Parts: sequence; structure tokens; C-alpha cells
Amino acid sequence: MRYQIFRGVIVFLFGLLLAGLFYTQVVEGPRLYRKSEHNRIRLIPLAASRGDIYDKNGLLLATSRPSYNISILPGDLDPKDLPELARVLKISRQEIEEKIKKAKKVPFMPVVLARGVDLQTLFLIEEKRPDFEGVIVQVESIRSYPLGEKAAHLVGYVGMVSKQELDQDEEKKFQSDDRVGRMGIEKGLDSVLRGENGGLQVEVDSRGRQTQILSERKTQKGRDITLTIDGRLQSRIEELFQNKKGVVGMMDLKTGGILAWVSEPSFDPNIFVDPARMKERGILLKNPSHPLIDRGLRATYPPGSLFKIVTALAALEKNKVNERTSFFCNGFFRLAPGSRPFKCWYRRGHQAMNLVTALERSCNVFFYNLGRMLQASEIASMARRLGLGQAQDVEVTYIRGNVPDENWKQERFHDRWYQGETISYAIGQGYLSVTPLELMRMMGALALETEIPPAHFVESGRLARKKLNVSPEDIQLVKKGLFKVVQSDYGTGQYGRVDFMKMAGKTGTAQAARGEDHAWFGGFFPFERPEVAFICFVEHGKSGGLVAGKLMHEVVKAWRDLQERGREMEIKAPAAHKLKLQPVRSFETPVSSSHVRQ
Amino acid sequence: MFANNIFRGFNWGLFSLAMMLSFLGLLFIASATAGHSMGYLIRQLMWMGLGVAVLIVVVWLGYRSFLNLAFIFYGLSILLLVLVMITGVSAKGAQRWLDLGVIALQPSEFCKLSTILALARFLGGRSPKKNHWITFILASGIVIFPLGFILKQPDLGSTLIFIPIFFCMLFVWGAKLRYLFGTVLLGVAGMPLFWMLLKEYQKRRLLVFINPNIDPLGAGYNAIQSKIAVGSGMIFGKGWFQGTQNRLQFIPEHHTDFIFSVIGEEWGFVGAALLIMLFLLLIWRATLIGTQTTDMPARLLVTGIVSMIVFHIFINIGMTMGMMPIAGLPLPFISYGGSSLISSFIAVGLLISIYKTRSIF
Repeated sequence: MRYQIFRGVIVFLFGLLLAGLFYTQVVEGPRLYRKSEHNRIRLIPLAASRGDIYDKNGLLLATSRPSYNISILPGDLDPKDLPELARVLKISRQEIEEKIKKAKKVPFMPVVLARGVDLQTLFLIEEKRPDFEGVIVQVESIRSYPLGEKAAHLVGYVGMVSKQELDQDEEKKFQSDDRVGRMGIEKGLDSVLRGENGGLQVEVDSRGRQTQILSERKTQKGRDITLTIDGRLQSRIEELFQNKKGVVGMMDLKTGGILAWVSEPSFDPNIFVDPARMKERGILLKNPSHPLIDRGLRATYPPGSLFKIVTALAALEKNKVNERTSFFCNGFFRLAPGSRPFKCWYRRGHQAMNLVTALERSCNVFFYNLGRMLQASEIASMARRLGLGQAQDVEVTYIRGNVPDENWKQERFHDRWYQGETISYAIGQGYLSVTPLELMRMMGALALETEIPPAHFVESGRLARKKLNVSPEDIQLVKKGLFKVVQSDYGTGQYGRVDFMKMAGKTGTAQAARGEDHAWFGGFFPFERPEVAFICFVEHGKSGGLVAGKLMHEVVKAWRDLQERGREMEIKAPAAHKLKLQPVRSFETPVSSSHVRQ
Repeated sequence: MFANNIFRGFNWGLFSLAMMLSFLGLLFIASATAGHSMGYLIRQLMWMGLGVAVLIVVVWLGYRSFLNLAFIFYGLSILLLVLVMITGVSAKGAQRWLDLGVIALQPSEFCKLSTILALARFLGGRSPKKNHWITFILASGIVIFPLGFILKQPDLGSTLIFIPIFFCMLFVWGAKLRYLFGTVLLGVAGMPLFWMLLKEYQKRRLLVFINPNIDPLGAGYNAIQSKIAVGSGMIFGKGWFQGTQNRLQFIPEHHTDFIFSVIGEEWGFVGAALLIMLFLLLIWRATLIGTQTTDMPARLLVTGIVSMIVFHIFINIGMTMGMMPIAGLPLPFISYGGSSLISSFIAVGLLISIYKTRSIF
């Protein structure tokens, strides 16, 4: 009897086994099958190499270079090698152990001990590698900016893709280790430079060793970009700045391509991409003069007397004045007898002024008088047509200036516009603020007379030219004044004068919210057949004519210098030089820049 | 003459089932060791030959001679266990093997058989109606000795296997149920003590059995990977030699203790269930032998042998599916390993011998 019970128990046990088997293989089977696939299949992302950035002469502004990381496979590392490894890498043993401990959660993945090691360390490691079991050298492509701080804001830099960007990445264009442009062209044309990532689907064994490749998607290299910038000019200008803060921009009037774009103080963008320079980032971010801000594109300032050009054009358009109209300047201006006086910068008064001389000497009183005759909206309309506060064609992120009028004030402050405000407006003070880029483009428009040059950084050719809706005769009259600003001995911009050609421009000294006044000097040259428009802005530079004018004088000389040398080089070695640059500059399809605007 | 004697009344069914299972084992050892040397296959084949020879010798000698010599065998195997403790070869923190030059012997495998023999002889000679509790205590003593030694090796699986064998034999012998329950209670009470005796890795294995995910890359790794292997075979399996868990080394010991996970992965539910049915058939035929004999020691011997094989199968297959804790027990006839295979063949030899002599009445 008991023996029969024993036999029954046995059958029961086998039934249990079969039931368990059924549950594991049939019920849980599909889930466990996926797990086994997950076990053996690894996706190895392959990052596409990023396109390079060149200046107009084929000079490298941004490229990628290999950086060497020393990693270990924790499972293969012999603990007795730790002290030696720590010595070679110049990090503490505890640090290594900590890193290994932290990485324990992901098995068989290399743990990075040192990023971006120098070549000497690399050679030391390579030498000892036969003894160092589990130590591997991983090559990573990192960005490099040869010009460093000389073109930092413009070229920009890249940074690690953020978790948020990865989460929102519906097209799957990012991989977890990707770099994304964070500033300048790197940011603005990220999608062009980026290329297409690929990947490998590989089978691995239990120790993570690759056994075979199951499928592969090839990477597609990002496209190279050639800028309109002249790297040499850019460098020279940066050097001329010395310790001043501010902006110098120069634009080729034939195309609208920007030849130089310097914002000071600057920073070395390599700090953000070189793993070995991680520590410098914090210091840079805390710098009180905000070197990361592109003062030409991402900051607005009152334009000061440069705005008198706009006021003049508005008054001419409304027939409030003509070439012969004159006002008397005795050093100040009152809206009504006994009201608060608006001062001219020249306390003793300019005496009788007409439009040309008022521009030449930057007489405030003359423009106060114009301001009295104009509506704010009339000034604003002219300013907007000249591109102030308007959209740009540049391929990088920028902000717009503020061109106020009655409606703006009503909306912003729920208050009416007072006439006194128009008086300040007329000389470029008050609520008005612009970016240096906007002023440079305005100077370009005056030079061309009939159109607004499409300011841009990427050499792409066909950019739509916007017609300038201002009377050319009026502009020509204003230009007479601008000519005198530089070329006349009464002109406020005479320090900008150069001896090899005629220039036209306008100085400005604008009241800053705090601290010394800002100095402006904007213009174009040569006067007869303008090739280049420029803007020079010195933050808290006190005097437009003195500080900005003198700086621009040096800049124009440097420009001339490079032009001469360029011509010489072309004569000396024509064919070979050109040929060499060809592949770099062959940028067939124009890059659409519509998507990079804010 | 000799052949006539041996093969008269020979249990061909039992024998051919054992052979079939061994050949199935060869198939999966081949898959599990693919890419390595053929050595595993050749050696296992050699063990099979030796096993068949030993089986014939056992049948020729007859189970009675074994029962007669049971205590000598028992003493010898205890001696071997002592030898292992002194001179044995250690592997993975345990001393289980005796190095005999060409081969490494695992005495605990044979100790199971000799203990069964000793128990069968001892219990078979005493009636449950007289001096019941003395018999009970002495029988326990027979088991305690080897159990202690094997636990000391340490070999948790082989230790645990003694307990169900002991209970089944006592139960069939006719032990009073309250004695059996009392022993169970005593065992439960002694758990904490037992826990203290366990090695760290054994404790972890038991804890991991309760929840493998507490240590997925350490002690839980085997349990998780083996379960994935078995389950991923689904109904029809990935095909012979096609198991990725096996081929890519995700399962440790996949030619020995975890061979069933290879079978489950490659042949799926259909193949694995077939294997279990074959085992059940073998066991069923074996238990039939017990019903056909009136010889008490013989019936106890059948009980012991059958429960030994059954619990090996149950614990081994159970552990590959996470139903049982990881205990280093081989799957009889299938797992790679000489000691296990030969002791299985000896066991079958004893069963056949009992079958042959059933016609006494």
C-alpha cells in the first residue's frame, strides 16, 4: 500500500515538472525568448563624422580630431596592476576603484578612467598594454577649433546631447553620446554638419565579446561648410581689440557675406570640447564680463548718434527739411520756453547747421528740431525699412533690436507717447535699442542705396536681396554728410580716416544704462564704389569718434594689408594655390538657412 | 552459459531506456561542447561503455551479493569521503574529486548508492513491529555519517538528496508516520544551525532561489540565464546546435549540471517534455519491479534507487527553470560526468538483477 503511495508521489512530481516546463516554455516562452535575444544582440552606435568648417580661403575653423580615452574592462583587470595604472594616468587608486564601482551596474562595458590623455600617457599605456590586462584605449572623435578665441562666437562649439533632447528626438537622429552644436555656426547648421548616424547590430557572447555582425547601417559624413569669413582678417581684428570690449563686423557688399565678426571679450571654444579642459568651463561661465555672449548678435544697445541717419531720412521723406534747411544750435534745445533743455554735446553750440553739416558734426540740436517735426511712428517706419529690429539672414541665432513707436508704448506701458520722447528718439536714445549687426546692415544699405544686403556667414551664393524702400536722392544727400564725417576736418569720425581711399561713416556716443557711454562707428568704403560696410562698437568706450574711430582706422588698414598680400600671393603661385583650395570650397548645394532662424 | 544466465529474464525495456537516455545525453553534450575539443564526447562514450560493462557485472553478481556486502561498501565509501577531505582535488571552492591519475572520481556519487544499499539491508532485516524507534534511530545514523561528510565538502545538492531518499525508504519500510513527522519537525527546528554550517555561496544560492533578481550578475546569474534559456526554446526550440544562450556561454556548466537548459532551449517544450516522459517511463518500469518482489530488502533497494534517480531529475530540471534552488546535481544519464553515469548504470544493474530474481515465487 505504502509502496503504491510512493509510486503516486513520483507520478505527481513528474506532473509538477511537466507543468513547470509548460509554464516556462509555452506561457513565459515568448517573453523569455525576447530576453535571450536581448542577451545576445547589442547595438553599437556609429557616430557620423561631423563636417568641417572653413573660412573663405580654406582655412580650418572647426574640425574633428581623435582624442584618446583610457578605459578598462573591470572583469579582466588584475587588481595588482591598479597602483601602476594609477601612476601612469596620474589619478588616485581610490578614484579608479570608485569609477569601477559606479560602473558595476552595466557589465562588460568599458569604464573610462581618463579622457583625452596626452600622447605621452598614451605611449606609456601602449607600452605596458601586454601586461595591463583589461586596459583598453578608446578613440573618440572630438571637435577642435584652430582659431580658438579668435572666432569663438561665430564658429561656436558643440556639447553633449542632453537627456531632454534625446527624449524629444522623434526622428532618431541622435545617439546617446552625440555632440550637438551649442553656439554659432555649429548650432545654426548643426543638421548639415551632423551627417547621419549609423550602427552595427552585433551578436555577443556572455562576456560581451563580439561573435558576428548581424546587420549594419553605414554612417554618412556631415557636410563641410565654407564661411564668408576671412580667418586672417578675423584674427587681426581680434588682436587689435586688446582689452576693449565690443564688436567689429565687416561685410562684403557684393554678396552680403560677412568678412569678419569679432565680439570681445571672447573665449576658447576648445574648453567645451576638450575633455582635458573640463575644469576651465566653470571659470568661464562665472566670468563677470560674459565672454560667452556674442555682443554683435545677442545683445542690444542704444545706437546713439548713428540713428541720426534714420531721423534725417525720415524728415527728408516727410519733406520736413531739405538740403538748404538750417537750424541754429546754441548748445541746447527747448520744446517750449522754460521747459527742460535738451543739450547738444557741443556746449558752445554749432551755430547754423544744415543737414550735411549736422551729420558731419553730429549736432544734436539740429536733430532735436527734426524730432519735433516728426511722429515717433514716422521715425520707426524709416528705421524698420533700414532693417533695424528686423529679421536677419544670418545662419546663427540672433536677437532683434527694439524700434519703438506710439503703439508699442501703449502696449508695453499702457501710456501715451510724449513729444519729449520723440526728441530723444531723434538722436538714438530712449527705448530704442539695436544690435551691432543691424547697424552694420543699415550702413550697407546706405552704401548700396537701393537694397538691403543679406548679411550672412555661410558661403552659399543666392540669397534674396531685399529692395530698400527709401528715396535714393535722400540717401545720397545723407551720404554727403557721412562722407564729411570721416573726410572733413570738422568731422566727428576723422580718426577713422585712411590715406589710401575715401570712407564714409557716422560716429555715435550712446548713453549706457550704467557706466561710461558706448562708442559707435559705422560706415562703408570706398566711398565712390562701396565694397565693404562695417560696424565698430566699443562697450563703455566713452567716445565714438575717438575710440571706435581709431580702432576702425587700424582695422581698415589691416583689411587693406591683407588685400594687398592676397593679390601678391595670387600672382606668385596662382594655379597650385587655387587647386588646393578647390575641394574644400566646392559646396554644391546651397545650404538652406531658413530653419536656423529664431 | 554465462550469457544465458545473465540475459535470462533480463529487463530489456529498462536497459534500452537507460541507453536511449544516455545517447540523448551524448547529443546534447555534443551541442553544449561544440567548438571545444571532441574530448568530452569521446570520454562520455567511454564512460557509457564502461557503464554497460559494470551493469552486466552487477547483474551477473546479483543484487544479493551487493546487499550482503552493503556495510563493507558503505564503510569503503565513507573511507573515500575521508580521503577526499584529505587529498581531494578542489574545484570552485569544494573538494569533491579524488584524483586517480587518469580519472577524477567523485566518491559522493557512489556513496549515495552504498548508503541506499546499507539502508535497504538494515531496514529489510528488521520488522517495523519490533523495536521500532531503535531501528529508526540507527537508520538515521546510517544516513547522518555520509551526509555530514558530503556537507563538509561542501556539496549541498548531494547532501539534500539523502533526505528524500531516507524518507521514502523509511516510509515504504513502514515507519510510523509520527516518527517521520517528528523528524521533519526536528529538521525544521535545526534549520538555523544548518544555516550556520552553510558556506557563504550556498546561503546566497538559497536566497537567490527566493528572488534571483537580488544579485542578477552574481549568484542569481545562473538561475536567470538558465530560465531564459529554457523558456526561449518555446514550443519547438531553436534547433539542435542553435541555442544562443548555450552557444554564447550565457549558461555556465551547460554540459554538466545545466544540460537540461540546453535541451529546453534547442528542442523546446516538445523535446524537453519527451525527455521527461522517457524518464517517467524508466522510473515507472523500475517501480514495477518493486511491486513484483516480495523480498523486503529488494523492495527497499528499488525504493531507494528510484527515489535517488527521481529526486536527481526533479531537483536538476527544477533548478534550470527556477522551481528549485541551484544545487550542483547532475541529470542522471544525461549530464557529462563519469561518476554520475556509472553509478546510474550500477543502479539500473541492481534493478535488473532484482527483476531477474522476481520469478522466485
